[in-house]
Amino acid sequence: MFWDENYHIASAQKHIDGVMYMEPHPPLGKMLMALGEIAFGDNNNIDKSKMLVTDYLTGNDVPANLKFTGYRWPSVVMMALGALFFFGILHRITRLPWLAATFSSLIIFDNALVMHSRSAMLEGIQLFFILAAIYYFVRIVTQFLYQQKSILLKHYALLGLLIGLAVSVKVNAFILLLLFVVLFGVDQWAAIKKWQWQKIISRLFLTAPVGAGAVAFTFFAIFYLHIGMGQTIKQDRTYKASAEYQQQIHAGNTWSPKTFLIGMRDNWKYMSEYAGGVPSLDYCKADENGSYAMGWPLSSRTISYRWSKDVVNGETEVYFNYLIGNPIIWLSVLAGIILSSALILGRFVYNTPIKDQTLFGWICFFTGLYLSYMIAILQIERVMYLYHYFIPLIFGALNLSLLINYIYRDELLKLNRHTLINLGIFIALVIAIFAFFAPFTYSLGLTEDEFALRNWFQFWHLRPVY
Amino acid sequence: MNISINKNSITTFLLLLIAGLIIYRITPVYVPANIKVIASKNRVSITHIHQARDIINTRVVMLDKLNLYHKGKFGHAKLGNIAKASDDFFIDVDQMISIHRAGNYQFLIGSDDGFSLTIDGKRVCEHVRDRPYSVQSCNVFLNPGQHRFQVSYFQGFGQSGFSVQYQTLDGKVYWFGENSPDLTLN
Repeated sequence: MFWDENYHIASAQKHIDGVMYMEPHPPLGKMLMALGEIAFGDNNNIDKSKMLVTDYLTGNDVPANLKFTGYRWPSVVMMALGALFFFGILHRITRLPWLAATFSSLIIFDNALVMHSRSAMLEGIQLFFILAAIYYFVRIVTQFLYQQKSILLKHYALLGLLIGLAVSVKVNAFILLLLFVVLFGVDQWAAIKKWQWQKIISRLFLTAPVGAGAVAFTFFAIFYLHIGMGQTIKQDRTYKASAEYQQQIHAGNTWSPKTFLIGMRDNWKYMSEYAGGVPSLDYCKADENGSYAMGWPLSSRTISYRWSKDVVNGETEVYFNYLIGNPIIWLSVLAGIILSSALILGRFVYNTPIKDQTLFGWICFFTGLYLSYMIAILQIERVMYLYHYFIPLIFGALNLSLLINYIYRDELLKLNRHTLINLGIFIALVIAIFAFFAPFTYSLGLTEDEFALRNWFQFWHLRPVY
Repeated sequence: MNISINKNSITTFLLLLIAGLIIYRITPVYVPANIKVIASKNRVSITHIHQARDIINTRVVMLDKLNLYHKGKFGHAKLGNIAKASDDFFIDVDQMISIHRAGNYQFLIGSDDGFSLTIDGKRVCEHVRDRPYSVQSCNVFLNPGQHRFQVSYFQGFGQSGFSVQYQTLDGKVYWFGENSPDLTLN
């Protein structure tokens, strides 16, 4: 186990055994980990009682022979399925399946995404719902644009459901609420252009409650399950639950609406207090793993999740689990954001002609999502980590794919040989660099010299431990 | 062949440039493997070349020549600090050499801190404790044939550096590791 796995695996086990707990993150991710563990059943004959009386599983509390496959399985599988949504998004927009498949390499061969998703952590699960929500959004809009299918209230509701699921894993998925704004803009573009404000407002009064209601319904429904499943309190571990809530648990009324209201209030209070207690970023700390958001596009700072040492043929080898992005992908995504920002500024400041209005619109959309997330995250004072960049990385990877498609659209449609060779070189670089950094991803032994060959930039803060 | 400058050719240039830079960055530095050098990190402070060793780890490095004094500190010009430590380590070389002409050979050993030179099991010269970098001349008469050359060096604390040269019978100075008409490495 490493990093937040120590928390999440303990929490997932509490779901399985019906033990009440509270956590800073909403419960859906841990619920799915619990489902994975039940499905695999690897640990059925192991005494896991100590996992129920701790929030951070470590040392002697870890049952002997505990297998982590089931807890990790949802993150692995859902992130892998998320790649299909990534493909689907690009396919829907570009209508070139081979191109969409090619650019899916950006998500499949990123070392940081693979490393993180192989563990029992929340991001792999959350990215699945985020990609599903974006895919569904793109589906609605492309059907509206290309097939003249109306945007209905059920579309807002289903989109809200998917966003609600993403938010129920981690609340930073709230950035997806911007999808509603854009969807409404597309839906009402004709009225907006003519400034038919009465029509716009009347539609807004319908769509906003439906969309926001679906998000809220999903979020609270997940919490209803969480509160309902918490049927016992172990060793007075109350998580500062109110006396009323504890009384309801002891009375076996965890599924009642009244308990839900009390439990929801107490959970909310716990999450708020916990968030308030998280320390700020402190680079003066020698072992600070947190990082400033402005450095994330450059993969700064990397995180050493775990390492172990061995001596092989007289030479020390270290087996790392290091969170480090594929530099080709991360730097290309950054270059893509700079280029698309220049394109957008050129259009609106210098009135540069646009050769493909729809594609330009999608580039504006994903660039906007990327920048909005980064601006929002810069307002947060608590310490944040490199994996908080995964969401804008996905936005940026989609943006990069569409930007390349925008720049070379004519050549790609004509299957220009030179353009295809360039694309091939780019993807070959992505895969080769993924393989080169794979020892950090799959914990393969590295000697000190091999480590040094991968330590490209000081701002990565890779730490040799030889 | 007609090469025109367009967005495709510019992209190709950029991609090849990036690929080239990466290949340059990830290609290990190569030097001819003339001498086997063993670097051993000691657990406790070293103050004497002959003190009992308590080794944490060792590294085996092949070098072109014994010039480990670069820019005023311990390190190889291309390979950097081969000991991967700044304090408390030993360097050992155990190398067979062939002498082609009998005569008085001079080994010029620079060290910061101490060293000990042994040829055919006989101690030729040494500086057992720490000191600033200085070159010491060690003279020995060698007959033609094979000889066992052993030199040990230690770095305690602070500044560091180690180098070995030799002077042939005609007065020319070579780095240990470079062959000469009078001395070759086996």
